Amino acid sequence: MNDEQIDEALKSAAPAPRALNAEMLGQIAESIKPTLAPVRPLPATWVMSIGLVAICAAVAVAGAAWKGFDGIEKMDGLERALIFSALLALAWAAASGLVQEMIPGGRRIVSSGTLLLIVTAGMAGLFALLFRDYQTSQFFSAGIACLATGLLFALIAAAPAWLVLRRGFAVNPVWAGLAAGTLASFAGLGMLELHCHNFQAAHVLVWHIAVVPVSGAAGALVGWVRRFR
Amino acid sequence: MQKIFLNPEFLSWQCNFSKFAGELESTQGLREAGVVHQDCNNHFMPADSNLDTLMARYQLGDFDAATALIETASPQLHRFFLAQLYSRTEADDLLQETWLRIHRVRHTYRPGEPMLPWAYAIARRVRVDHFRKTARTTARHEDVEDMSTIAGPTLVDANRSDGLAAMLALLSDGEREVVEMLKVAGLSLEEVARATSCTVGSVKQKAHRAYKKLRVTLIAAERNRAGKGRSEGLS
Repeated sequence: MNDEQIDEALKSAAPAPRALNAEMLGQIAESIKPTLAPVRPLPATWVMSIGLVAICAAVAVAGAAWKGFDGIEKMDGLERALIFSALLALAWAAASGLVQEMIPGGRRIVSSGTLLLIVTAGMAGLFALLFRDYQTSQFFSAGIACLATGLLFALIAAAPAWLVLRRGFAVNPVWAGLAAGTLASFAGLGMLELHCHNFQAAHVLVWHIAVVPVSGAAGALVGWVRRFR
Repeated sequence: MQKIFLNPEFLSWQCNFSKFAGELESTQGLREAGVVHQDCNNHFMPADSNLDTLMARYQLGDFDAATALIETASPQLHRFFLAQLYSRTEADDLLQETWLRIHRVRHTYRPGEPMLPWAYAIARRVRVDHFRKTARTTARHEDVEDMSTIAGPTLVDANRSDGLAAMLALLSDGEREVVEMLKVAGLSLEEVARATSCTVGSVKQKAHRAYKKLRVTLIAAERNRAGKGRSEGLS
């Protein structure tokens, strides 16, 4: 049995179309009439994405300005170029993904979960390539401090990002939350790369990268809670 | 008042109807909104508008366009709920809820984008919310009432003898949804991907899995029929 035969079977099994109750349709139309005012459609995806990336970048730079630009000062030119261009590119992808999550019927290139994996794996691969100091001094104490700082700045970025996104409508709040958490993590990760001068491979690979999945998971949790409201 | 019946197949090329979309009882709203017009032989012809332009006009606060949009898109959305194994009454309620939701978030539609996947995406959300609400209600009452007496969202209306529903009942929710949108509503892969918030690859995968299951079921049914025919012939 081929696909065409299955198509035929589906078509023949489909029930005859039934008329909808005209009165019900009229009631629906009447119910929306009192609040039928012109609305302004959402801006283009790229406009919203620029806004979101700018928010993350501003939060990261503001955080580094407050805590010090020790990290970027310690990096050489190649490290700066690779790390910050990768952060920018992935933040752009995350912002576009998040905007699509907030628009019903938006085009998905990758799912929010896949995007989180790409971001985590991409940044981990880049860090593994660039940082070759394999000492693990103050692994937990310094690491937890960095993770907490990164998450704090991710949280700070999430608040203004919500202002950009509040007009949207998430058809899947969990995926939207995951995408929002992933995007917000770039504010935290960016801030850590600007500020943190601990270039031990284990520290950067574990604690800096952890900001991304932890922030993503926190976003997904918020989305999960919101769907019950 | 004379009722004018409109054949949706006739309009499908222009208005993006499915040929299973259902008969519309009145064309009043459609004529007012310019979706159809009457020619000199009193035949209704599709005008240059379609669902996307109606939606754009609805965003501008045009009540006639909103009415026409409700009349044209409702049969497909209603059918979507029916295909998800809801009863007709539940499908009616969900359709009304969907339009209220569409009205609330109509600014999220972008002029120029396809309207149907956008509306289906909202309808899906309404369906999921309804499912959760029913599940919660069921859980709350399960101590005091017999589970079998509570109408769940996956229970088919007892009066509904729908061959399609029986075929699709074998599939998972996601597969059923994809097959219904692709093969019954006539959406493209890209449109289904948009409506279900998936990638095109994921839709293809679900359709492939669904067809695999349907193939096995249909072959088994065919064998059963052939076996019955042989035994009847022998007797």
